[in-house]
Order: sequence, then C-alpha cells, then structure tokens
Amino acid sequence: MSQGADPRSPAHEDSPSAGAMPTRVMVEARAIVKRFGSNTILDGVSLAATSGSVTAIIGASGSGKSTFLRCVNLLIRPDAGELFLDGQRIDTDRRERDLLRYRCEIGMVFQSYNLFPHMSALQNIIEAPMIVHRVSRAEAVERAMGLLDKVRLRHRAEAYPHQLSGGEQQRVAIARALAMRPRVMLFDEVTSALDPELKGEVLATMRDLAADGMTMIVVSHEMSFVRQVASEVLFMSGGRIIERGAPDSILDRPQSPELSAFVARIMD
Amino acid sequence: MDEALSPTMDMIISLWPRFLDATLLTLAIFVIVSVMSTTIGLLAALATIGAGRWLSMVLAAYGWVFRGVPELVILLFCYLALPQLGLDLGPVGAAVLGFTLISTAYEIEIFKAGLAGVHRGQFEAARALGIPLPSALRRIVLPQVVRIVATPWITYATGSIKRISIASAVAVTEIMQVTKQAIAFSHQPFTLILFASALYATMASILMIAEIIAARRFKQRFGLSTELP
Ligand SMILES: Nc1ncnc2c1ncn2[C@@H]1O[C@H](COP(=O)(O)OP(=O)(O)O)[C@@H](O)[C@H]1O
Ligand SMILES: [Mg+2]
Repeated sequence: MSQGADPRSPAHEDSPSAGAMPTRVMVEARAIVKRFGSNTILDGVSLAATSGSVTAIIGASGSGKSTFLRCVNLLIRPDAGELFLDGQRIDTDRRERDLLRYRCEIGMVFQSYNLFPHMSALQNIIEAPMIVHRVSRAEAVERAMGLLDKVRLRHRAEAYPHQLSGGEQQRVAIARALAMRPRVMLFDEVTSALDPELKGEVLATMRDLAADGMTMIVVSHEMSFVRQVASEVLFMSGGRIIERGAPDSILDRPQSPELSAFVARIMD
Repeated sequence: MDEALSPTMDMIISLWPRFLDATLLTLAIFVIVSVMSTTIGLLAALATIGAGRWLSMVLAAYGWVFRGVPELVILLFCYLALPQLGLDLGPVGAAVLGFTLISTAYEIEIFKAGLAGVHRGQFEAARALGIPLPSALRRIVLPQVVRIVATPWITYATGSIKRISIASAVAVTEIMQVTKQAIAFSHQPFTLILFASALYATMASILMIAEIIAARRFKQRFGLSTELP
C-alpha cells in the first residue's frame, strides 16, 4: 500500500526548505472516515505533513480529495479519525464556534476562488483579520498590501473581483488566506477553472509560497508542478489512499492498476 | 376652461387637508408594516439556515395561511374577531397587524430566495477564514442578499402601498376611505377617483425610481446586476 516513504523522512531534495527545518509534523490526519448517508466517501485516510513540506493529492474525480481537505480544516466533520495540528490533538466534536480558532490556522483556497464579490481585492484580504484577529484597519491594510506585493497584484488593490481575471482572482484568494497567518495551506484544484495561460501565474505564486517554507497540501493535476514542488504524492481512489511516495516514483512507476490507469489518462 | 374647472379645483383644495392626512396615514402604515415585516421576514429566513425541519414546516404553514387567505378576510379578522378574544387594536392597529402578518409571509419567501441566491462557496470561504457566523452574515452574506432581493422587495412594496386601500373596509381613514366619503357628499366620483389614483401612482413611482437608482448603484459600484445570474 505505502510506497515506503516515511512521511517523516526529509523532504524531497528539490524542496528549497529541505534540511532547513527540523522534520516536525505540522498537520496530521489519522484514519479519517466520512460517510454521506450510506456512502463511505473517506475510508480511513491518513496523512502527515511535516513543516514546510508540500503534499500533493491526486486521484480521479469523485475519489474524495475535496472531502478529505474539508475534513482537515473541519469545514465538514469526520465521522471517525483524529486530527493533530503541530502535535496538538484537535477535538473534532467541539461546537462550530470553538473550531474557528483551529480553522484560521489552516488557510484554504478553492477551485472557484469564492472572493466576496461586493468587496475590492484589498477589502477581501483585510476582512477576516479585522473581524477574527481584531487588528486595526491600518495594520490590516499594511499587511494586505505586502501580501498583494507577494502575489504581484499591488496595482489591483482597489479592483473588484469582476474586474479581475481568473488568475488574478485566485491570487487574491491566496493572499486572503495568507492574511490569517495560517500554519498550513490547503489548495483544492485551484487552477482547474483557469485558462491554460493563467494557470502559470497561480502556480508561480504557489511555488513562491513553498519556497518560503509554507506547509502545503495541494490537490492538483498539474503534473509538472507536482513533480517539481511536491515532497510526497498521495494517490486516492474510492476514498482511500492506495499509493504514496516521492513524485517521480508515483508518476513513473505506478504499482496499482488504478494509478497506472490514472497516470495514463492525465499524461496524454 | 377656468370657469368649468374651478368648482372641481375648489373641491380638491377644500378636501386637500383630509387627503394629506390620509396620504400621511397610508405612508405611516406602509413604513411600519414594511419595517416590521422585512425585519421579521429576514430573521425568519436566516433562522432556516441550519435549522431543523420543524421550523421550515412552521414557516410553510404560516405562508400557506397568510398568502392563501384574502387580505380583506385577514383585516376583518383582526378588526372584528380579535376584539372578541380580548384584543381590540382599533382600526389602524388592526390594519397594521393584519398587513404585517400578510407581508411577513411574503418577505420570508423573498429573503429565503435571496439567501439561496448567495453562492454556497461564500459561506464556505467565510468559515474557512474562521469568521464567526454572525459576522459572516452581516458583512458577507447580507450585502449580497440585498442585491438579489432589491427588485422583488420593491416590486412587493409597490403592491403593498396599493393594498393599504383595503384598510378602508375596516374604517381606517386612509386615501380610499377619504375618497369614498368625499364622493358621498360631492358627487364627483370621476375627479375624486382620478385624484386618488394620482396619489397612489405618485407613491408607487417613488418606489420604482428608488429601484432604478439602487440597480444603477449596484452596477456602478460592483459591476453586479440586480438580476439573478
Ligand atoms: N455533501 C455531500 N453529500 C453527499 N455526497 C457528497 C457530498 N460531498 C461529496 N459527496 C460525494 O463524495 C464523493 C467524493 O467527492 P469529492 O470529495 O468532491 O471528490 P473529488 O474532490 O476527489 O472529486 C463524490 O461521490 C461526491 O458525490
Ligand atoms: Mg474536488
């Protein structure tokens, strides 16, 4: 089942943060189970992401990737399993209010951007820090402008979402998530809705983020990105992780027929 | 011309204070009913988010009664039947209660549709950022609901203003009541009904113009149409 890669082993050699950080597990999910009605959508999914690592999750549509990411930040509650953030066990049965603090330690970026359409790019970014962390507007704006610099959109600060291209919207969404100073970032097929020429700018932003040492869990079918940036690749099928390992071994030497078929399909 | 029109003008001028009072009363009832039904309708629609099935069933039953029974029947019930139960609100009070009950049933539907029109990704993004639900509703969801409901809300409000004429049946001295009284002693139904129509048309026009301004503002500010996508 496992490709033998211990999740605690040093990060992939291409990873800029390799060796720079102690291999501390930043986020861990143990045997997550999620059912919708009588369908078991996640059937014991485990993952341990070390600090600064990039974990890629691949798998066919409907295999449970989004459901798993939503369980990691508790947008939906798993029916069984355990979550740990930086070694601390998270009580998944707490009330929604009590989960908010955990949730803002974990940034999430969605396929459909989900920017707030009635707010400018800048307002989108400062909203949550002002409400949740109660930072002053001046402080929030200063930090937001820094983040807009980082995603190369400072000149678009006053633009509303409908005035931005898909790639720009997605980069604002990344900046918005980063404004909460998360310790982990989740990306759910964030380039899937984008035209090919716009995917690159979003992937470049994600590369920068990985280079800065952000712990990232990325559902993506951008294979060159996965190959270059991921420390570990997990292949999901039918609500289980059926293969895991270094990108090259997963993509070039699939063991299971499911992964072979999947790789053949996305490579053509 | 002047000779022929002057008796009519004289009548209108002599009745003007009563028409003015009636118009102000109509507007007052409209404002009170709109504020109360909009507030209750919005809160009830918000309460259905994540609430159990029983609340939806209670609201459905409420809507069935107050959208199904004719307005006049509800007003007469509030004016004539409630005093029998020990609740005598007087004509204006009964009209305000009756119209509020009716309008609330429609406002609930308007706001439920408005909430359903907000992409569920918006709720998810707010939750993912750790924003508590009350703040998310106030800052993120409601502004989008306002955009969606602007047109149906004003359409309904325009009808509401006209519907207040029914209160003449429960002895409220609103515009229609004053018109009927004036017809009774002046025998000038044509002019008086025309004049009453003009008053209603003016009030409705103000609301319709408000809608056009609101739509233009949304468009300029956010590039958003008030039409549903
Ligand atoms: N809220 C839900 N209720 C019922 N079924 C769901 C729900 N969310 C997802 N599913 C089902 O779970 C399965 C996995 O979905 P998803 O996690 O979105 O897969 P992926 O992201 O890998 O495409 C699908 O069959 C989907 O229909
Ligand atoms: Mg998905």
